[in-house]
Parts: sequence; structure tokens; C-alpha cells
Amino acid sequence: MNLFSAKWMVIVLMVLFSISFSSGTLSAQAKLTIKPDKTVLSQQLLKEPIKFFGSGWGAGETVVIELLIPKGIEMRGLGKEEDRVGIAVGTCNEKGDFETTMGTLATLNWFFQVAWIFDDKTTSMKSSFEKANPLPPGEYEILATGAITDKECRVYFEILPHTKGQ
Amino acid sequence: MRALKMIGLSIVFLVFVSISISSFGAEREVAYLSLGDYTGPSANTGIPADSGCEDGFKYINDKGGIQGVKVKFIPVDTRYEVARAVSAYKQLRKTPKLLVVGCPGTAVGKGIAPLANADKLVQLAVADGEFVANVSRTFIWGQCYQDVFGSMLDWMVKDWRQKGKAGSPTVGYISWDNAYGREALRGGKEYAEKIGVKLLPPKLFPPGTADHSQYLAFLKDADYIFAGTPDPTPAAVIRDAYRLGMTKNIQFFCDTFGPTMSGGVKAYNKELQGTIVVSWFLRGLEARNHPLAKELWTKYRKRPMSEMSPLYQIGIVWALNYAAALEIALKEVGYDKITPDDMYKAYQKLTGRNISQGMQGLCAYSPTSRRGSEEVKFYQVKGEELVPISGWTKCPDTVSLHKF
Repeated sequence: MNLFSAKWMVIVLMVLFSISFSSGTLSAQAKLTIKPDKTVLSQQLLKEPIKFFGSGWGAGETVVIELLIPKGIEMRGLGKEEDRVGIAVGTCNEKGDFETTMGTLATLNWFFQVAWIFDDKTTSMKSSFEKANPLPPGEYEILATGAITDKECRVYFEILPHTKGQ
Repeated sequence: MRALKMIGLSIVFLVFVSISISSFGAEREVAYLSLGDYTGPSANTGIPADSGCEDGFKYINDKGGIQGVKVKFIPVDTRYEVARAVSAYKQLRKTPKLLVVGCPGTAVGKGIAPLANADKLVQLAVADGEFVANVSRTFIWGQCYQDVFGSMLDWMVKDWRQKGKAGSPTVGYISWDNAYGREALRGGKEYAEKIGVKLLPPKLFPPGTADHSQYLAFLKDADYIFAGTPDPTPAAVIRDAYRLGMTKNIQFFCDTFGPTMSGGVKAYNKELQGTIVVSWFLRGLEARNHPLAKELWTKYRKRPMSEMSPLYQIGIVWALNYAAALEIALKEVGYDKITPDDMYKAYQKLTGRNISQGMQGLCAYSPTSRRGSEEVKFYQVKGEELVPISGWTKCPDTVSLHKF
């Protein structure tokens, strides 16, 4: 009887170990790196945008990268109940790797939170930094999720305060 | 024993009554998700179109829905940004009975297409020929950019011959330097070659350009010029052409999203006289006088008709097409079993019907076609109005001439 229980105990432990090992491997496989991972909000970001590098995702998978909005911060265009906003999308190669940038429009809309106004001179819509509401300095959680595999990876990104002369 | 039997019967009766009440009280609902733009760079087109869609669904719901099923309109402000649209789609894709996702933006439409396809959802997208060439679950609103351009080329050749001129006309093309600005050339260029029109090298300028003179200078030898981009940019291009004296001898054309009476036509009225606008939905006073558009605008927006953008009609047609497809799907599988795939099959059965009530040509969705309609109307700027100068005219198929 004791021998029987011990045998089952070993099997259960082995199963548990393999599950935890494999899930650990899975979560470790899906990676996201942000470069730079901290920055001051300046118009230089429009020339040198934030880059995202991913690995360990599904082949050909679309990966959506979202900024999780801390409580108390309002985002232009989002409902009060919304807690995240997409800031970039990556499309994986056959190996499950991707490289993407935060587009100009995403940077203007979500980091600077510009207003869009009609410009009579150019007869087109123009971004207004005067009416912008930039994200305050602080640490922000970034969540990457695979559209097919549902794999997730969380990293942090920091917006630094402006110093004199910036 | 008898008491126990009575208690048992009472319980059965109560369960039956409660199930009946809950079924009776529950509203039967399906959903439409719009990944629109209400505060971003295309809000001036996104707001009127989605207002039309929202009002179209209100109108349908106020009439009791389709076979008692109401439509829930879910608006999302993407600010014209793909990542936000993909993120919002991911959050909302499991909405109960979500059957269609609308993408009023070219880039957003392309970003959502693979996800919507994977979810078997019908997607409504702008007017890219790519969606016509590669038949999938993405349906375009009306006619595609290149086929509209093809119909202009046909008109130019006919006009050239009617004037007794020899040979073929020379045509200029000016638009934004982006995918949208080049889209009409993907098939349109091949069609020009096919019918023997000499197409000058296209002149593409960055969005936000204040003065278009330097680009127009390359097109001074043209007999006809197509000025692309949405209102009011093409009006500003023609304003600059007027200053250069080019509008005296060159006939200018704009397409579906070109000058409106309350926009470009009003802003540069003198300069735009004689400009031809080719559209797959009603424009000018024809749009403002359309009975259904008028009824919905005055009922739900409570504003004067002069403030109604013609784009309001596009949104109404999205709602009408949805309702027509829903009616087919409900008849075939019923509310409880309806899936996005049933809606997809139903959209393909709308072929040849006048669902838009004349706001655009006959519906062309079919198992092999993703065009909302195949026809356009020609309008001309006369005074302060856009006056129709043709009936609905079928466009040539230019998409099949291009390798996508």
C-alpha cells in the first residue's frame, strides 16, 4: 500500500514538474524588448521612434503591444472604462521573431496626446501640440500579446521628467 | 404523498414560468463594431460616416429591429491608429453575437483584415482594389479607387472624341505621396495603357503641402488632370492650378471623396467652377434631398440639411446592408444559431439589390465580388452646387489588370 502510494506520488510529482517546466519555458519564450526603455517625451521621438523587438512568438503571428493605463490618467479618445491602448503591432517571421516601431501617429496620439485641428492654410488636419496632454513622467507597464497563441509578455517603460534645457 | 406531489408540481410550474419570463424579457441583440476615428486626423470624414451608421441602426431598431432582433452599434475611437484598432478589436472580438467589424480607414482595414478573417468575421473596409482582387471576408463600401479612375479615363476619351480631336488625350495624375494616393494607379495605370491614354508620370506630394504649384508645373501639357485625395485637399490643388492659369484649358477631375458643397466647393468656389467629381454615392443636392438621408438626419441629428456631409449616407448604407444580410441569416439559421460565418454567407447573397435606396448603385456583393457597387455618377461644380451630369454609370474592371 505504501509502495503503491509512493509510486503514485512520484508520478504526480513528475507530471507537476513537467507542467511547471513547460509553462515556464513557454512564458520565457515570449520576449519583448523596448529600445530605449526610458526616454524624455520630446519631438525627437518622431525622428527616432521607440523600437520593439520580440522573440518566441508564433510563426507569422500578429503581436499587439499595449500600454496599460495607470488609474487616474485619462487618454484622449478612450472611454473611462478602458485600461489599455495599443501602441504598436508586430508581425512575426517564420521563427516567431519580430521587430517593429511605434509609429508617428501612435506617438502623437498616445504619448503626446495631441489634438487634431483643421488647418485652413494646408486644408488638412494638423496635430496641435498647444492642445496636447502628454503622458506624465513615470513607469508604465507594457503588455505584448500574441493574437494566435495568446502568449503574453510584460515589461516596463519609463517616461523621464524633463530637465533644464530639454 | 399527495402533498409531496403538489409541491413537485408547483416547483415544475415555477421553473416553467421563470424560464418563460426570462426568455420573454431578454432582448435579442446582435452587434456591429466600428473602429472609427472621432478625434484623430481623419475625424472630419470618420464622424459623419459613423453618425450615418449609428443613425441607420437606430432607425432599424426603432422599427422593431430585424425579425425582432436589435442591432447594437459599438463605436471605438481609434484616432486613425492601427495599433489602437488592433488592441480594441482584441478586447471586443468576443462580444456576444458580434457579426461585422467596420474599419473606416485604409491602414486600419489592412491591419484588422487577417484577424477578422481568422475570427470568420465580415469586415467592411474603404475602397482598396486589393480587397477586390483577393476575395476574402473583407467587403469594400462601394467601388474601388482604381475602377473609379478607370471610369474617368473612359469619360475623357469619349469627351476627346466628341470634340473631334485626333489621337488620344494626355492625362495628369496628382495625389498624396502615400499608399492611398497611389492606390488608383494599381490597375488604373494598366487601364490607361489598354485604352491608349497617355498618362504623364504621376505627381505625388506629402500630405499637408501648402502650395502644389511645383508639382502642377510638370502637368501643364495635360488635357485632363485627376486631383486625388479627400476634400478639401483637391480643392486646394485646383486653387493652385487656377493661379497658374491651368484651369482654362485643362479639365480637372476629383473622385468620390473629393470636394463637397460645404467644404472645398465653398472654400474655393471661383477656382473650382467646371470641376468634375466622380462618386459612387450621391453628392450635392441629390444627397441632401435623398428622402431617407433627410429623414434620419433631421430626426436624429436635428440639424439643417446644409450641414449634412454626403459621407453620412455611406454610414446609412453600412447599416442597411447589415440589416439586409441579417434578415437572410436569421431566416436561414435563426437567432440562437447565428454566427459571423452565416452573416458572411448572407452578405454574398445581396447581389443586384437596391438596398441603399438609390444612395449608391445596386449592391454588387456576391460569392466572387467584394465591391459594394460597380457604378459611379458624374457631377460638375456649377455655381455653389455639385450638379449631376450623368446617371449611374458602370465602371470598367481595372483591378483584374494589376498583379496584387
